Amino acid sequence: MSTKKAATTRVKWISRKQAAAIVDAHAQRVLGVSGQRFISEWKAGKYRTLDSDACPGVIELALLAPLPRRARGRKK
Amino acid sequence: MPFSPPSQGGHVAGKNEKEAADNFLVYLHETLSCITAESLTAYQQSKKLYKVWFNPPTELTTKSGGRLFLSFTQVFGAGPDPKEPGEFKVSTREYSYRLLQRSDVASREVLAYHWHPNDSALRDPHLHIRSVPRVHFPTSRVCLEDFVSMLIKYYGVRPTMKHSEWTAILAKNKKAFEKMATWKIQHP
Repeated sequence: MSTKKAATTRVKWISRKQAAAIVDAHAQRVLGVSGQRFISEWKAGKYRTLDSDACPGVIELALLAPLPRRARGRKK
Repeated sequence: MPFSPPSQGGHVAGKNEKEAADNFLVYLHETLSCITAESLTAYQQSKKLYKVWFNPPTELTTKSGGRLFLSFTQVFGAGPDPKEPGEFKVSTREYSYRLLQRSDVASREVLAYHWHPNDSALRDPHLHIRSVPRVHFPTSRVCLEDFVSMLIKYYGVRPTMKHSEWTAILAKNKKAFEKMATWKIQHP
């Protein structure tokens, strides 16, 4: 790869509204619920035991959704 | 701070959170450009928290003419670098690297490397393999360069560039990753 090509950043920054729409579509596809409902139910602990095998795509959904997170996942 | 891509020996720090995030995205994109020309989607959820992914999963071409799909999602934070006063660095918080046979995000993956310490009871990095369901194979932290290399070498994904070019990019970016990683790859 030429260095000129390597220096090109191909990233589309999206807005909060666009991100919410993507989360909503993802939640509808993976779980059949709205993004808002997924977030509410996640906070209530409903999806704590779900994983990729039982529900493919749910982990990406949890990563993309604006859910509460610890300051740092893990430090070693 | 002038930025030079990792392939030129540059680093991925910045003079503020956003610059560090932007530089990290250049690095991620460069690694992924070895197998796809697709753009990444990025979202700044807060001053210090960023998310980047392919939306939808990106199509990969195999050497045999087949198709596979990559669902790449990473959450990272940006903050002051404790080792370099005045500089900011990023830290990966969570990741999901999934290899799919269809573009559907809800389809079952061929394999998936996950680390999502905030989202389930399983806090350590692990591997899912479709042929062995319900098993979370424990892994070390998996860097994106190793995952991309595996796709090319073992899943027949066709690189977008010459062998000498993608191997050089992956080697240099992995070295940069190991240098900046807060917790390291476990070498055998």
